[in-house]
Formats: sequence, C-alpha cells, structure tokens
Amino acid sequence: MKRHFDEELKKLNKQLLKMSALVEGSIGRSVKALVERKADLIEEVIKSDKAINMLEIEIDELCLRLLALHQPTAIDLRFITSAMKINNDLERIGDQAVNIAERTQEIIKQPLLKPLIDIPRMAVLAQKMVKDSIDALVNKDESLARDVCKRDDKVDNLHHQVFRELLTYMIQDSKTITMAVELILVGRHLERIADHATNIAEDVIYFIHGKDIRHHLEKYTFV
Amino acid sequence: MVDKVTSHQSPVTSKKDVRISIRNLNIWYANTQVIKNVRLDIEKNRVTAIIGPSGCGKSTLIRTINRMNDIIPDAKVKGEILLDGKNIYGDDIDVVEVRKRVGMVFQKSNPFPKSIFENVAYGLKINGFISAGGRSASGGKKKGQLMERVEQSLKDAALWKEVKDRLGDSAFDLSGGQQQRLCIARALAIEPEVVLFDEPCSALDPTATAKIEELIQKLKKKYTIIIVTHNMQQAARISDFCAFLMLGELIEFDKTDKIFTAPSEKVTEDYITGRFG
Repeated sequence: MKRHFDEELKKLNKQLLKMSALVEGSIGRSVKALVERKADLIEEVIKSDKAINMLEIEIDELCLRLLALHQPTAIDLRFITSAMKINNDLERIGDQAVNIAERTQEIIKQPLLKPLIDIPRMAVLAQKMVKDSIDALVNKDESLARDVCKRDDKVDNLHHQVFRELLTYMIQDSKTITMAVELILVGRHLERIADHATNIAEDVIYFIHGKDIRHHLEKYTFV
Repeated sequence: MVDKVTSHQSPVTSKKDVRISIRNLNIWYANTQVIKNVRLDIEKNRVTAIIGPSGCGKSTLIRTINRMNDIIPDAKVKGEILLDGKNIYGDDIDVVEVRKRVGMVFQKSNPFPKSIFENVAYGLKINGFISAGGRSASGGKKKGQLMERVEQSLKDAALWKEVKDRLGDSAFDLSGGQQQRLCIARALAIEPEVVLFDEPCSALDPTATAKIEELIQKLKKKYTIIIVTHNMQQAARISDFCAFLMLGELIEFDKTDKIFTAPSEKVTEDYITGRFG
C-alpha cells in the first residue's frame, strides 16, 4: 500500500543527501586550500558552513514533525531516529572542515616544514568514508557500512604517524612548534571526521537491521 | 504453517512466570478455521497485547481464554489452554470457576441497569457476600465484607473518588469512560487472576483512554492482563509483550519494544508501519 508518509520520508532522504553533498564539498575545499595553499577556498568553506547549520535545523524539524504526526514504528522509526543522528554527525563534520580551513589560514602564511604526504592521504580516506557511509544509507548497503567502520583504523594509524613525525621536528627545533602544532591539529580534525563517518555507518547498520554495533558490541561480525 | 509458529522462541524466559500457556490451539466456526495452531505463553503480572488486522482472530483468541466461545453454537476448539498448569478445556473443569478466575472487559461498556454500587456488588452477592445489615444464605461468613470489597474494587479501577458520594445513582448516569471503569471494577470485584480486555478503549475519547491505560499499568501489579487492541500505539504504550496475529496464525510474539523497533518478520513490520491493512 502506498502511503503519504513515504513521500515525507523521501523528502527527508533528499535533505540528508543535500546535507551530505554540502559537507563533502566543505572537506574537499578545506583540504584543497591546505594542499594548494589557496586562501579564497577558506572563505568558501566558512560561508558554506552557515548553509550546513541551517540545513541541520531544517532536517531536525522535519524529523520531529514526522515523529509527532506519524508516530512511526519499526524501520520507519529507525530511519528517522538514525537520520537525526546522522544529521548531527554531518554538521559536526562540517565544523571540522571549518577548523581545517582556519588552521590553513595560519599554515599558508609560512613555508611548509616538509611536503605534505600523510595529511592528504588521511583527507582522501576520511572524505571517502563520509561519502561511502551516506551511500550505504541510500542503498541500504550493510557491507559498505561495515567496511567504513573498519577503515577508521587506517585513519587512526595515519593520525598517530603524523603526530610522531611532527613531534620529532618539534624536539629538534623549537621554532617549528607553531607550524607543527597547526598540522597536528589538522590531523586531529581529519581523524575526527573519520570518527563521525564511522558513527554514521553504525547508525546505517542500526537503520537496516535494528542491530546496535556501537562500541564494538558485536565486533563487526556478519550476522 | 506449523514451522512458522514454532520458529519463534517465546520471549517469556522462565516457566515459573507463566500464568497461561496456550498450546496448539485451533478454533473453527462451522467449517472455517479461524485460529491455526497457536502457541503462546502469557507471563503473570505483565500486560500481553494481541494485535493484528481485522478478522485475524484476536477476539476469538482472547474469548477462548475464559471460555466465552462456549456460547457460540458453531465454535469448535482443539488444543489446550493451561491456566496455572491446568487445562481449562479439560473434562473436570467448572466453567463458572474459570470465568471467576479470568475476568473480562468488553469493547463497549455494558453496565447493568442498576446503581453504581449494585453493578460492582452483583458478582459478589452471587458469591455469598452480603451487606452488614443483611442475611447470608451461607451463614454470614462474608457478612460486612461486601461494602469493603465494592470500595476496594472501585479504588482499584480508579473510579472511587468520582463516585463515592453517589453510589446509589444509576450506572447509566456515568460518562462513557466512567462506565468502562465501572465494568473494570465489576470484573475486579471477584478477584480474578487474569483480566482480559477486548478493545477496552475503542469507544472512548483520548482522556478517558489515557485513564484506562494508566489503570492497566497499575493493575498488572496484582493481575495478569491480556489486551486486544486495534490501536497500535496503545499496544506499544501499555504492553510488555506483544503477539502479532494474521489470518489466524501467530506470526510473531516478542517483547513489545522489540516488536515496535525491530520486528523479526517482514509481515509484522509491514503491518505496524501501515504498509498494508
């Protein structure tokens, strides 16, 4: 039976996709600004964050309205509650992109300590995790969502690597501290983006199966 | 069909918590089978809801639990319903005794055309209770307890405060919601172990419904409750366990929160999300 409610759910799905596209764009631009040292992109990231924040509120309002008016159950309920959490994670990812842009503002004022290698690698991984977690939501693809969860370790490892390497620079020459700390923070922001993408992937699995795998409850085994 | 029914583990974990155990129950009206091989454990001091589309056999199933189907000439029942381990369809069973232990509240409130007091006292009087000044056929053992029991039943049904100064008024002077609570008080008066509710709120407004729901939550401390409801949100709000019935088959039986957040069967999900029906 076709329900009017399905149209509303489709609208929510569409809004989430719009949010995700804005956020992915922000990560891309913030990292590009860093790697290619482009100040104009920084402004764009900060500007688009306002749109992301407004959309977050819109999506939350839509979810609350659907909960109040339709009193959804089962998969509908799981979709809406997951959407609320995913919405929040996406907005936080947007904030991290702004943080990266703000760090970049400082970084590009000075010459680099060394060519950037691991940070762009982290950026590619984190960006792909965000994209795939949302693809998993749209296509109800459980295995893709689980794969996103697994990839978080790779980003964590790179994050540690970046930190260790920059630490050696700081120990050798205290003049590098300001620059190194900025880069360590960029690494930290990218690592947080990957964490938020993992949260989204976990919510996607809950939405599909009603199984909560957060905090390694189920050790990511297939069931 | 049989595999499907037995494939679900009963959510009732301990055998000693089971008050009613329905075993391989089949019911026919003439040649039409309306309940098909249902197995269901009802836990004591819990609310078990039975949901399902119209005509799925919900009311038939609940009526079987206090043998109300006996009065339907064409009805044939096969299988067992164990009340505290004893089959209520056994040969040596006194139906009146069963109905004393398993009370029932119906969809439409049906008070007797008598006073509020008499409505509650009726069943008690039949069972030998008499008022303080009256005479007892059974030797007056229960003398003086009648008023006490009527008061307690009205209190249990959350009606006492509203009627205590007008016990002599006709039951028909009460509002729809009050009449339904009066019927609940009447059912509680003879101290049953189990109370069956067949769509108790379908004729009530949201405020009266909220009162009955609140009451059911309180009653489960003393009684075992089974409720048939068309209102899915009501089942979600007040029950601990939920059985989903379709075309006479038990499709899924689980804890209510599981049924309404992540049911195991696709057909349960389709029903509770309104994708069919």
